[in-house]
Amino acid sequence: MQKILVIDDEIYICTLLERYLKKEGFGVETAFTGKSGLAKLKTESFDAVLCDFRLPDIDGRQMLSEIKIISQQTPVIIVTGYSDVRMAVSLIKSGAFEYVTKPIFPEEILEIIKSAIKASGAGVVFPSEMEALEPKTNSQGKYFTSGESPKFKEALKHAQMVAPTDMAVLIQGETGAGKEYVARAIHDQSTRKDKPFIAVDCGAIPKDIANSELFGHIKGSFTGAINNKEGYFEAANGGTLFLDEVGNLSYEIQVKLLRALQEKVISKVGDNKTIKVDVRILAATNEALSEAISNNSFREDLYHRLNEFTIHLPPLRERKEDILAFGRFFLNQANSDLKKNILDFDAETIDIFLKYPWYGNLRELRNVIKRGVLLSQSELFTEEVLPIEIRRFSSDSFEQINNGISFIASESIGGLKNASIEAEKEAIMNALISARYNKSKAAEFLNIDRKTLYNKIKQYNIEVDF
Amino acid sequence: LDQALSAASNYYDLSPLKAIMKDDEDFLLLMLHTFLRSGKENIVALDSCLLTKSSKTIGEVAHKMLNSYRQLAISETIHDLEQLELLIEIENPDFDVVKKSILNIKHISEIVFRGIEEEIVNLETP
Repeated sequence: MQKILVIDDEIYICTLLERYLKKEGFGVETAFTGKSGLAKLKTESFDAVLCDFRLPDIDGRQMLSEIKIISQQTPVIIVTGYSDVRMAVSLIKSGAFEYVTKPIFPEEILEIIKSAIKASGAGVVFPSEMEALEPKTNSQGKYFTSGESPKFKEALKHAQMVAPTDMAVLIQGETGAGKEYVARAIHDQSTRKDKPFIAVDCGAIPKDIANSELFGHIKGSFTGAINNKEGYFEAANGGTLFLDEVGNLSYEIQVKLLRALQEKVISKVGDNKTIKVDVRILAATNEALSEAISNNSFREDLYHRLNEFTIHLPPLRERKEDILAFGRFFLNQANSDLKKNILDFDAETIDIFLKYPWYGNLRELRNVIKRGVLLSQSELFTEEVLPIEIRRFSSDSFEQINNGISFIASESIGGLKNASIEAEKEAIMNALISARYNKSKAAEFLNIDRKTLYNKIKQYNIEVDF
Repeated sequence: LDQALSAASNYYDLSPLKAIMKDDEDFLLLMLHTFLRSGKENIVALDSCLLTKSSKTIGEVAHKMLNSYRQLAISETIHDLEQLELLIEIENPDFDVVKKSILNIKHISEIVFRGIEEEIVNLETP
């Protein structure tokens, strides 16, 4: 029986998931604190861990890293509120399998648990963007999912240009923007396309085993090295090695990587012999490596070796044309996964999709659509199935809410900002009074739409229910 | 309150939970009991945190409550809970406003708890 560990301080969630997953044939253990969850992991093995991002004793990032130290192979699914979604997306880069937002829908969790166990059983240790964006082929073997925006098309054009060469390519872009998709496109259009493509998430490899994971080790070279092990470099020989989040590699590994790039040789941990390797390196980063160079945490010579050609992938919010192209692709994917038949998005949903900033990029878009398909009762994907945080989004309010300038905080913010907030609040109050609290009329008086007015009323905690 | 109680079921919706349970009444009962227990504990916690002005803990309790309150569609409380959740990050809030939110959550919760208690009685009555 496959075993799941649920770590959440809310008894309601633990009870719901425990009972539901048991009905689905899993063994389930629950823990209400991070410490007790880690203690269980030390004494029992689990096939997957569901972990709340905000536990009372240990935060989600630290939990993930501790779980990975205890049991590197166990997939971890982060459970989070929508306000933490950006952080959750970044945890994927640190080795989490997936994130899921509250409120919990057990069917959705079940689906993710099944994929996590399947991926871990297949030896996919470091799941990454590729899983979200796995390119599908049509009968001609061509990709049918691609962005529509000039910026994305330009990135793919650059990928096509550089593909036949053996140049190292550095792909820059935010988490979830599709960097691995571009890396895969380079490999598939290169002369190495029939050889392995190995994607390694450098952010997910614990520092003390990174050397062995990348370059391999020989039996007896350290405690726990009970067999000879082939590293990712050898596994990718003749093909392409994609190093995602390359900025996370330690200085020691950077030295070995530089040597592998310059001399095309590697040596395994515990072995003095060198092995010739023919590997094309593609690297990706979501941060400015130049900053890491200036504070000496990233070697400049390695940066220039990796950066023979740069492809910049802009975030989804800067290429709005791609939102619907990928959105419809994810809709079809979710229909197929969940055996549903949602035909399209309705006009309001499209409007919200185009306004929302998608800080988690394609991964966030995919997850939102998948949950929406799961919840949909009609043939159209409507705004009712979107998370409330996205639904009530308006370009006016979101940044302010995100920055904590809510009604609670407004009192403590002084100066000009406070003055303009007060002026706006007063204007809204006057309009509401003039319109006898008819919100549509008040919105007309203020020359804003009704949704924006609702957001402002909420934001400033204006009493209208009297 | 009496008037509100008679329409307690207007303040929550069990259908999403029932959809998950797929006609498993024992499961539904278990979840309703669990909701009552944790809901009442959380309301007590909000009250005592308000007395001690522990804003971060108020935020953490609100964060815990949001999942079940959203699942049972107790929509009259969601905005207040979301605002209180922000206290995890915000220092020196206006406690008059915080108090107002907590009172609203408490008031609606009391109505919902009584409604859920009635649901439990109905489910447990053969």
